[in-house]
Amino acid sequence: MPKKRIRWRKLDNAAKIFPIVSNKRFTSVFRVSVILKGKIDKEILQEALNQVIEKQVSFKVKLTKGFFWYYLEENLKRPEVKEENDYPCRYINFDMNNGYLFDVTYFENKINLDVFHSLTDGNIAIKFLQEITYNYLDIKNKTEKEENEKRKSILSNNIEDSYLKNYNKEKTKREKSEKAYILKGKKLPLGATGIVHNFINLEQLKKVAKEADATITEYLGAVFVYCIYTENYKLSNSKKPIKVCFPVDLKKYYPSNTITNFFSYISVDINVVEKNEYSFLDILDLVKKQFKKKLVPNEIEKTMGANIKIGTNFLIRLVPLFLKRILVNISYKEIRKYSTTTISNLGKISVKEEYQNEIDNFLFLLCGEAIEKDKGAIVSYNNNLVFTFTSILENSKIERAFYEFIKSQNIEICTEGNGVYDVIS
Amino acid sequence: MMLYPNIMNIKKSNFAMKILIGISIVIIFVCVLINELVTPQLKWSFLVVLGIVYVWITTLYSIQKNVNIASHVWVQTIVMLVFLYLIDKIVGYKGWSINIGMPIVIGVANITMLILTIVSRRKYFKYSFYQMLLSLVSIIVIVLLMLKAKYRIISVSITSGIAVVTLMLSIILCGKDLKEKIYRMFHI
Repeated sequence: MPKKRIRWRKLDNAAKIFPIVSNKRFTSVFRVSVILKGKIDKEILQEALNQVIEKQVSFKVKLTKGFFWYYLEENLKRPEVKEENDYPCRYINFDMNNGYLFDVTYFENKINLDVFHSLTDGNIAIKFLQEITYNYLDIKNKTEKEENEKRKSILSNNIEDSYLKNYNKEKTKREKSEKAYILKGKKLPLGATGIVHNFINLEQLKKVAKEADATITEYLGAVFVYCIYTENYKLSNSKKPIKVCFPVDLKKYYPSNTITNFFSYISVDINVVEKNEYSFLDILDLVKKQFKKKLVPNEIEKTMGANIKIGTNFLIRLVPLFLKRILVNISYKEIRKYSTTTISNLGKISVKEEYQNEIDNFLFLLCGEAIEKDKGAIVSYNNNLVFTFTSILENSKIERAFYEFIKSQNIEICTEGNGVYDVIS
Repeated sequence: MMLYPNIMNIKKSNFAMKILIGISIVIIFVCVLINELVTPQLKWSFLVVLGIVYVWITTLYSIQKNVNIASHVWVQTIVMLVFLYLIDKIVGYKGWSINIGMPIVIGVANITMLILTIVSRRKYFKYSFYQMLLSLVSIIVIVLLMLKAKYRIISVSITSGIAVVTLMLSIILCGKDLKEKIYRMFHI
């Protein structure tokens, strides 16, 4: 038998930080789920995953500790499908997960894919989930296909670090910024997460957003900020700005086919101290202005460049990993205080025609954590947009206000949670 | 349609762990107390402490699913080397740990690791990295033994022979893979 060579790769520029700073309190795990129209069969799902992982070898990896950096090494074990019995986006203990950086679970009609961010970003994770789902449906429906008809994977195995390929060394300057308002309130016990999914009529939402001359992300972002302002900020004496981090898919700006992370972010800073009272329209106006200023190639390039400059600095690269852990953790704790929350929009998911009848919806969840205690994640499918809150706050005032606001705009909305909060609607 | 299962009690496993830690601390405290009151001249309670620490290290390492057998050999060897020396010290240092205990542990560990490397080398070299680490530690310990042991000639010679031979064999069998592994581990 010929000897098998172990494949390995360096972590991409964005992925480097996650293993260093992650723990049970800050998991760096996000979740994408698909809701099917029938109940999930565990054995078929395991078979589907086994087949997909052999094709998508870039996901068949484990995280290994080097002397200077973590890196990804080929994983010779198989990932195991489990029934969901825990909160979403919990810390993935790789040692208890056959080394894998993702976790596939199921519950009733739902397949979940929890992903540690060092592996990839949300845009690729949703494609990986789709690949598993298509394969699951093929096996379940016993769809036998001829060799030339076999479905081509929607994912590549390209593992280039698109950050290094595309960044501009001349544009690496980071603008000075001030610390953000941090949400106040009693927290849930460690590990517990409150989930609220808002199922919103997409067409109606689009119409309302268009009337306000805003995109859906701007509109929902403004609603979230307005709810933070009315339900949390005004109860404090803080003068700090409410700052929202919006991840940006860099594949829209640069040619890239990588399956590794390739995202940046813009920080929308809403200063609500100049007036005594801010209306929703005031906040929407501020959000739109910030988007107009920051969601432009030049600004995105600068943010990306500043982040890459740190990761590629020769002196930083030479610091041993145990020292990096200490230094990065100290500085990262401070850096995180520059954001109140994050809202991530995966956009509209398109599904191959032959599978559309079997797929009901998609969900996207970010992990709630000690600093950004309440986060928002958006994903759309057909005429449904799902805005999901993940929160570690004990009260759900922001979620309730969000629901009431959307409803007051005559947009159809219904909610579903994980039982941590009382049912809102 | 339900989207999530009923929330499980997340504190259950932590609670069990806390109870076990509590029991360990109580045992240690009681033993140290009895030791001090009854036989203060012989510190036998330290043996209990070492035993409990050993059980915890082994248990915590063993429950990790992703740990391969070679790394178990590696961890057990290191822990045993340290503990043998400490036990010898506690019971009034006669030197048996470095004259007999350590050479036997190193010899057995090296042979075990070599067998693992030979058995697995056709597939991949996952054990050989630990083999190399163990050989290097063995050589360091052997040098220290040579400086300290009273009746060192036979035991230390055998052990050093085993360590050198296993290291050579490991390099011959998996040298290229080891080179790659070292490159991966030390990439900047």
